[in-house]
This record gives sequence, structure tokens and C-alpha cells, in this order.
Amino acid sequence: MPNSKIQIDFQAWKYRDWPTIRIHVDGDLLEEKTLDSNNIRVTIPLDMMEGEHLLEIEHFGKSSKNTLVDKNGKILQDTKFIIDKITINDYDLPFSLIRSCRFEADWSKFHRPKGMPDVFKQSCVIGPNGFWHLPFVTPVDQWIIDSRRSQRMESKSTITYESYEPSAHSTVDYILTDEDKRTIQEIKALIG
Amino acid sequence: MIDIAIVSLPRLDLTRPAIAPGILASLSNKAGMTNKIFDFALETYERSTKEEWTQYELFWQIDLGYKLDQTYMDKLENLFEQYISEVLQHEPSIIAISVFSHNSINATEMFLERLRIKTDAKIMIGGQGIQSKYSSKTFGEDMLERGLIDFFLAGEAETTFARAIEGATDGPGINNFFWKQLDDLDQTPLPDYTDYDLSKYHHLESGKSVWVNASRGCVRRCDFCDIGKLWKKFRFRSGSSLYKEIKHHMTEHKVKSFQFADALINGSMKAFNDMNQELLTGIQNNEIQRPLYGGHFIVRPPNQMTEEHYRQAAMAGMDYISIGVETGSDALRFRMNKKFTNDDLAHHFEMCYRYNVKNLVMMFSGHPTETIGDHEETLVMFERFKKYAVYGTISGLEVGSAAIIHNTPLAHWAMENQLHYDPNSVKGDNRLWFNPNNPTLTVRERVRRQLELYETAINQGWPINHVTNNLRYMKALLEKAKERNTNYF
Repeated sequence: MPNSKIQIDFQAWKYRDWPTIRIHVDGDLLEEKTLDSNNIRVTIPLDMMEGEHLLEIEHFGKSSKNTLVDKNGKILQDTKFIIDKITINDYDLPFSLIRSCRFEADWSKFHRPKGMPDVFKQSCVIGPNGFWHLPFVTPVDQWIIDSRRSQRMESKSTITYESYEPSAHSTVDYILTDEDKRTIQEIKALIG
Repeated sequence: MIDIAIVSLPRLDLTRPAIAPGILASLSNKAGMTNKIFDFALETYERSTKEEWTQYELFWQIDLGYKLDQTYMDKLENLFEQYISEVLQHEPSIIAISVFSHNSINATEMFLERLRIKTDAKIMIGGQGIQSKYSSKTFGEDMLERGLIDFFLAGEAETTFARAIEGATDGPGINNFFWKQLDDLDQTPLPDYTDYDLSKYHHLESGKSVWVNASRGCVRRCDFCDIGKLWKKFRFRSGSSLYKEIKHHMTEHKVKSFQFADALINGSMKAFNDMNQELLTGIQNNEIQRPLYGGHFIVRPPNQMTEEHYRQAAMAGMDYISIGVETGSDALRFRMNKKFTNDDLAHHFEMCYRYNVKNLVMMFSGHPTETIGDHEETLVMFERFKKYAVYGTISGLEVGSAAIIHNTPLAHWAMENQLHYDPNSVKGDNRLWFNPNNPTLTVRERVRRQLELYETAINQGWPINHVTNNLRYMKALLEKAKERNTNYF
């Protein structure tokens, strides 16, 4: 029985052909699919060990005939897609985590438009062929919590010291200190 | 030389300045009297080491009866002597002390004992803390009888304080508790924060913030709470009056964040929606930027608090609210008179997730009627709502231990049901009690359950707020129970 599930929501557009994709996790090809409607959801059951992983979505098979441009080079219609939402083990990944993604374009079958880079960071809009990468960690719930905490710790505006009174509103995301852990042991000893 | 010195003393939340001194300052201004606010709660924090402060924290919580070591006591007394010199240096003719709660009375008594012999200024005290049980009387009556004050002022400052500073020596609320509650809260003056250095307070991510008071009283009568005793009527301000106040603080003090001091911000759904509408209109007309606001919030069934209500509130600035969930057991929560279920809570969290409103969940362990089954349902609840803790919709959790507060429905129930505790000794949050009808729920068992809630919550990813002081308190409570060798330890 698979212990995990990845669900990806796409928005897709076509000019002549719908986009074709391959979905890989940790280098293993899990599904090949044509995104043949404007809104499409792909659900993939899989087995995963706890730890770091890599989700890759490969856009392939697109050629210059799938892009309609006017005489000024402006794109009028295109075969492309957007990765709208990623859900792993029923947790929607927040934007703060998805933005660690990057897209490496493969321009070999295209005329590269002026100024277009090889790598697009923080982009979920996929036009050219290429690989879109997103590192993630399982268990996902703990990954989301840890990431939020580390962002808070880095934020200079976050209060992490003790307020005068443990107010309902004094801090958020408190992390147990060594002193707290010691006190817990002392309480347990008193309870007996 | 000033007319009125307005003093606040520990124990206070220092996230933002207390609202009462600001209202007293405003009323004094209205009466044409010069005044100055002294926030000695903040000063005590700023002038103490962490170690000293930790000790003082335990000392202020009067139900613990915590004795300070002489070294700490000497330091505290010196600090208070300094405070008195700082006040008297302004030669006030009136000294008004705001006694926030029962946990302010140790500091107030210490202050008064040193103040009275050094001044002939009129000394008056007010605030919820003056009604605290103290010996066989209230704290206010005791201080008056001992000659440490000239007046205690009960009820709302708008009536009693305003009259007292103009020379009234008797009448409703002046040296008695027969005060009359205001019907029109729109008469409340805007608190005057000009004396405060707002940047010194501890604040949150959203920056400088102040309290706002939108209502008095409560539409619930939760059995453990004394709001219903203090405020017989539920009265609320109009949306336009609140908008005016928020706009004033945003303009005058560059404050963007507001915390409502109300028992419940959505006690009246009509007033809550009106306020949100006023704020939205102000935002749309570019009169203000979207503020951020929070406060205590009652979870209501979906037919009372619809998705549209949440959507509007979030757009108007609702950002961080605290909700009294208390327990994961529907049956126990209904026994407390909270009137909502875990399914209502599920709707609430989903709406808050959708509209990005953060929640501080407030709970307590060991209600006198709590069974082991109720406790286990609470453990299950942590798992059920884990998703919202992961997403940060639940951004804090506080778990306290059950207290029987004087004159609450629970205290009356406790007397009727022969709970073992001495009602005459109740000075604060009495946590040393025993219910012979629920004999396994000893102090030790209650603390065990509380600790189990902490550990389960942590395992389920719930972020616990400021647990340090609660843990210290739990330990002190256990030691106290053991020391007394009570049969309920």
C-alpha cells in the first residue's frame, strides 16, 4: 500500500496541441500525461521514506508550431501550463515553500526570445520545454511547521523573548527551552 | 506640579499599554486637570534582571502565597521607594492607582504602604482588582479601613472617577460597590496615550499596538468566569464611534494594530458587522489603510457566523483572535455553558484558514466535573485540528489549570456541591480544591492531565504560547499542595 499521495492542480492552455508532461519524484518517472483541459488535477499515490525529496515536472514535446506570434513577436496563443496548487499527503503546500522552485528551460527546439534566461526562479508558469524542480521534505506537516518557525526566528520583528506576563498575545510559535524541559521533569517527579 | 498622577502597577501584560490609565488621563484632560501617567509595571520589567522578574512574577500571583527571599524583597522595596519619589516629585494633589486584577493587589498594597506616609495628596484606587477578596473584605474596603487610601472607586471611570476628581466624596461607586453601568458606551472618551512611549512595549510582528474597548459585559455566562458578576449588562459601542477611535490612533500615534479589550468582539453580531462595514468604507475611501485587529472571539455555529461574516471581518482587518475552546469534550463545554461544539469549531478554523485569520486557542485542564473521558476527547481534538496548527491558522495555544474564581457560577456550584476549599481564603484564582463527587481529580491528577495536554499538543504540531510561566506555576502549585499535606494532593 502506498504511504503517500501527491496531488497537483494545473491550469493549461493549448495552441494546436495540449501540453504534455512527465512527473518525477526523486528521479523516478511516476506519470506521463497530456494536460487536455483548462483545469486538470493529477493524483499520484506513492511510497516515500521520511526525508528530503525532489518533485520534478518535465514539459516535453512542444515545438515552435505550438506558439502563435504576431509580426512584432508578441505571443498571441501558446501551449503552456501553470502549476496551481500542490498537495502532499493532504497538506496544501503554502506559497512560502513553493517559491523555492525553479524551472530550467530547454531552448534546443526553440528560438530563444531575447532576454530569456536558462533558469526561472520562483515561477510556476511553464511555457518552454524543460524541468520544473521543487525540493520537499516528508513528513510534510513537520516540514511546514519547521519552515514557518525558522522564518519567524529570522524575522527581526518577531518577539521571542519572554514578555512580562504570558499574555494571550505576547508571542507566537513558542519553542520549549531547556529550562521548560527541566521544569517538566521536576513536575513529573512531584507527581510521582 | 500636576493635578493628578495616574499610576499602574504590576502585574500587567506589557504587549501594549493598559487602556485604563489612558482613559483616566482623558477624563482628567476633560476636567481641565493636568496629569501624568506612570506605568510602573513596565518600569519593573525594565529595571529588573530576568531572575528578579521571575521571582516577582510568582509573588504577584496571590493565590500561590509565594514568599520572596529577603534579597528579592529588599530590591523590590527599593524599586517601589524610587517609584514613589518619582511620583511625589511632581507634587500631585490626587494620586489615582489603577488596580488591574487580583494579581495587582500585592504591588498596590506595597506601593500604598510606602506612599501614604509621605503625602497628603488624595489617594484613590479603582479597577477590577479592588473587588478582590482580601481578608474578610474586598481589597478596596480593606485599604480604606486601614487609611491607606481616601477613596476606592468601583465601576466605570466615566462616572465614578470623573465625579471623584471634581470633589465628590460619595455617591454610586465612591467607597461602595453600588455603581450603575453606563448604557451609552459612545460617551466613553478616547484613551489618551500621549504620555506613553509606545515603542517600549513588547508588541507583536504587526508593530505598535493599543487596546480598544468596544463593549462591556458578555453574552455568555461561562461557569468559570466572573465577567457576568462584574458587568450585569452587555453594552456595546457603535461602529462609527469605533471607527473614529481607530482612525485617531492610526493618525496620531502611527499605530496599525489594535487589540480589543472586550470579553468578546463578536458578542453582538450586529455591532461586529457594523464596525467591519465602517472600517471597510474607510479603507475603500482611502481614509485609513487596512488596520490589523484582534480580540477575544466566541465560536458560533455556522448559521450565526457565516462565511461572508468571516470574509468581511478579514478584509476589515481581523487578523489574530483568541478563542476560549477550553476542552475537546462537547459535553463538558456545554456544562461550562460555552454553547458550541467541535463541529462548530471545525467550521471556524476552516473559515479562518480560508481568510487568513490566526487563532490563539485558550484551554484549561481539570474542570471540577472533567472525567477521564472528557480529557481523552481533548487529546483527540488536538489530532483532529492538527491541519490548522500546521498551516498556522492555530498560531498559539495556552493551557491553564482549573481555577475556582470567587463569585462565579462555578464557585456557587462548588459550594452547593460541597467541594473542599475555603471560600474565605480565595484571594485570586483558587486552584487548591477537591471535588468529592469526582475523587480521582486531585491536584496531582489535574497537573498530570495538563502536562499530557502540553505534550500531546507539541507532538501534534500545535504551537504552545509562553509555557514557561505556566510550568513554573504548576510546579509551585504542586509544591504548595504537598506542603499543606492536603488530602487532595
